[in-house]
Amino acid sequence: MVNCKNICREIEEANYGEALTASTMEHLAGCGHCHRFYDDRRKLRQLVASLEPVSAPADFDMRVRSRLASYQNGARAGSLFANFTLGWPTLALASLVLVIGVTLALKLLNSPANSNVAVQDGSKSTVQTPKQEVPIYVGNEVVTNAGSRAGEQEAGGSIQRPKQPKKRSQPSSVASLRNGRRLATQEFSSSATPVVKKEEAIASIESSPVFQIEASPQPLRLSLDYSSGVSRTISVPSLSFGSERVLTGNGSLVKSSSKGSW
Amino acid sequence: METLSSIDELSFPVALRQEVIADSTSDHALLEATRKGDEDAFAELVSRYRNQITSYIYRMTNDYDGAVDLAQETFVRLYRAVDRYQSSYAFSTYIYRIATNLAISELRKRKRRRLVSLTGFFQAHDGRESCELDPVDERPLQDTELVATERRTAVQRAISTLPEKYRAPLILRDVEGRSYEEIARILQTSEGTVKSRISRARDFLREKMRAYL
Repeated sequence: MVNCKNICREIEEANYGEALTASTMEHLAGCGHCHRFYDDRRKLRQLVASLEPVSAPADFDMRVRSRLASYQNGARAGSLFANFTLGWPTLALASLVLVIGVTLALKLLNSPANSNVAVQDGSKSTVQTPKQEVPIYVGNEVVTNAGSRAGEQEAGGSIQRPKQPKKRSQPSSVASLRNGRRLATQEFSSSATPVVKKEEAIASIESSPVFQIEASPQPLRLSLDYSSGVSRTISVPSLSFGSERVLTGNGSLVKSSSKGSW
Repeated sequence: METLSSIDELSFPVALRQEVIADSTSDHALLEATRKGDEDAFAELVSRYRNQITSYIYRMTNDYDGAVDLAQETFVRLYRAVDRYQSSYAFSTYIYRIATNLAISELRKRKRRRLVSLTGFFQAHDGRESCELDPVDERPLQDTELVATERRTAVQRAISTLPEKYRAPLILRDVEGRSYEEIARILQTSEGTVKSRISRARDFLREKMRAYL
């Protein structure tokens, strides 16, 4: 049987048409198994060898030259991207860049500097008290206390500063946000409305034609103090319901129609 | 106006062509000349191997137009990689390796393009290699020439259904007549593997061609 295996290997590895050795031929004459194997292989190889060779078309050379020319032109035109193909490495790189880009964009969007609320870490959440610009009337001029002090000096100290209403602790609310941060807000709309009695108004008019009443309701001002040190103030003007007139004793009118002040 | 007897004359000057052929320059020398920019030397290489390569790829892919296209691509690849060629092996080994890689790549592309594979129904479930279904038409034909043609067609079809790892060595051995050593170098594998694969390929083919044996 070992001999048969060797014989079959010799038959298998022989070149097509090559004569086998005498000892192999002798074995084939006496071994039916090896003879059948030899016959099968011989016929099969004959069959496969019967395949006729195929010729290239007549214009094969020209087409190769044409391809080479287009390749050379292409290589000159775009040598940088000559070997660029849209394969797996390219797609993987593009996906990676996309993921990084999206991640950065999301981080930027969620960063505190871009939020529209005053968000501070921990329990140190504070709301910056808005600087209240109180209009002061000097004759026909309107000067704010945030404005130039020159106007104040020009008036020779005759400017009547209204009595600031006593500041009351304004109600504040604290809400929890995502990421363990807290939002603190303060409601200014519930601040006390100054009351000017008619007698006081008339008396002040008699001594001086100018009187000032704090606008009520005051403009809603919301100061946002970002953790990055940037602050922003949002001012919502108060509603105006038209002009108000104060009738004095001699019938003269004091009129004011400034927004929020009268 | 000068008339052309063959389209080949369009590509290469007749005098130069004959001079090159008469010189019977070795493939290595032609490739060396190509490397130095001699396009006529490359043209001679093309003319020497175009039929062999086209025929080999055709046996691998069973598609003539595709085979011609891939054969041209083989020469373009050869030209592009001419600087990287090492003359330690025969030039034919080198060009057949390029052609084999292109043909196998094409076969894999085709396999991916198939929407529905019927071969799954005929896969062996015991771990053995399996062949694609390709029932042979066993109806006899009367005319002798027709019988021979039909037989060759059946052989070609049977070969084209072999798994690619068996197909290439079988064609190189039984159709192209290459030695085991050269096949091993073309396929970049060992001689033992080549012998084993050729033996398996013949077994497959024998099963498919039983009606013709």
